Amino acid sequence: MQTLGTKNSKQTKKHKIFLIKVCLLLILQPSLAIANNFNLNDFFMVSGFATLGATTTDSDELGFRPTLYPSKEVYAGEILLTTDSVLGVQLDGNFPDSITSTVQLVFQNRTKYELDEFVHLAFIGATPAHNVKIRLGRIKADIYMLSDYRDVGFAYPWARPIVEFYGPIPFQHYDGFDIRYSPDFAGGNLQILAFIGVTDLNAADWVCSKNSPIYGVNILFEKGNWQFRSGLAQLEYNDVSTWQTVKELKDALIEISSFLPSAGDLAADLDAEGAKTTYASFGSIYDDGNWILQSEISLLDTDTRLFPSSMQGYVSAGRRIGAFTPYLTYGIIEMTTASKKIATPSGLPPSLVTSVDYLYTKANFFNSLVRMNQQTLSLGVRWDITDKTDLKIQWSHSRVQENSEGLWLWSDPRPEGDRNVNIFTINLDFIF
Amino acid sequence: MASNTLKRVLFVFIPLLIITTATALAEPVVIVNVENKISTLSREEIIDLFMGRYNNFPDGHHAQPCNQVDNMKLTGQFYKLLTGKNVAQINAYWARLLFSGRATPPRNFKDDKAIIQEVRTSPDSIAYVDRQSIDDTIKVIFEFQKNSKSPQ
Repeated sequence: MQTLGTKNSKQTKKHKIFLIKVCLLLILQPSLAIANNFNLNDFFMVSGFATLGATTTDSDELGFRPTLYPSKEVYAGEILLTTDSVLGVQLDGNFPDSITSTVQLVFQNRTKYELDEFVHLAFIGATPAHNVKIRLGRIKADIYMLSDYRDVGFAYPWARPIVEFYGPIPFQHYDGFDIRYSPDFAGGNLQILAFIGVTDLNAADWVCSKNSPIYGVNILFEKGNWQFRSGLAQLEYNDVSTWQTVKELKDALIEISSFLPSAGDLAADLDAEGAKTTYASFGSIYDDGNWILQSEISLLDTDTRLFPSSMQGYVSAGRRIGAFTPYLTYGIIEMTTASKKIATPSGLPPSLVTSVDYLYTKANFFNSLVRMNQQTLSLGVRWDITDKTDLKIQWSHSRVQENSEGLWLWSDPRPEGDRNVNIFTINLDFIF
Repeated sequence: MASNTLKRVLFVFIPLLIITTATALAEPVVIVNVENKISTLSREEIIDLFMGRYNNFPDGHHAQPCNQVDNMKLTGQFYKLLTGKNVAQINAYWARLLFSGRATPPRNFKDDKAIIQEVRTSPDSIAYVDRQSIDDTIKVIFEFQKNSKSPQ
């Protein structure tokens, strides 16, 4: 079993200290409130969300999991209770002068956990003008429409956010600052958001990144039954660590690159340090209380082959009939970075052929590991059992292209040819 | 015998009928503290406050919207008239804003009595109560029948 290499840099320590400071501030606030004889119930609110789910599939080759985050996958013949199951608890504080504080802890399906991962929100908010809000601390990254509530099943119609769209994002929150300006515009509500911070990535079990700078802007416009959102964000990979095997492979390729230039290219493809990914997205929702139509499209542009460029999108239509909302969704992801295979050079001394060929084969293999080309059609129904509880039943059919199963896990040997997988899910969502 | 049964049935059902009719006729009106300088708000401005888009009244002072949880019929009617959506849909909407950390939902109070008590003492409060509960210690700033029709 291979384990992830980890690095502990000064920046990580700074990052931890920053988080501790934010938490201390949040803990101190209640005592300040008590000192001034405030009634606690007037200022604090505890709330939460939960999903209890069961998922199974008909594939014994491709193991399904909803995102790139290291989490337990499900194969044919198993019923997994952890795929979408989640518990989130939130404490909100409201103080004089429109100062707020929010802490949210989330427990969910992860196979690798750092304590830090439980904390999804820990920020202080302020309203310096009636249409300006600022937040400082740990904030959920507002990359796509559902990015900052993708764990809250009760908030959307489906069993889970569309995997082709939300699956490839291996981070959920950042430590930093955002500012939201909400002017009236064209008879509707306009929100302009700008954010900056640092985030940790944990992708595909074998690539991690610490304190990666992230910044972006997005615009949301709501009018009547319509909502439009457009966003642009950029992430810079910092302090990247990979599986020890990948690291050793890269070092070996660099060593032989002095006499084999193509080995240098292969080594560069296994490196993401300092590389950037840009997320450009557009989405809209129409919800008139009866019909709920939703669509998003995004372009992901990167300069590292460890996280290849892609375009993805989805459309969804649901119809509310009393307490029931049957829905249909279609999601697609296509890599825009072409696959690349560097052949083992010919004319090598016989004593080197075997080892060089081994290194080239391994490097080409790792480069193809994160490619994702697939489509999923889902059919499901949401039943609002009470005002705060729903039950969802969903069938999804995914068509996954050969050597493009980056969103899935598989056990040796790697599946050859395209694969069709059916996924069945029953989820019970609550808010409290 | 038959007439006794009939009397019993009537004894139980007539008050029930009256209660149901009265509840069905519950009509939400929007109220604020009498000291509040705002004398009227449009439906869109009330949506902005109750749906977390703004935290302040149009004149700039802080607004604290209030919900009531015991009389869900009135709450359901208020949101249906205001937005065309039912309580489960409103809760799903708030789940998005609350758990993404963008806004906090209106504060919860038990019933008309508790809400009116709050609005009397808090200059920031904005709430809905049944028309039958209003008195001159609070100020009505919006009535659905007068101001606008339901969005649906």
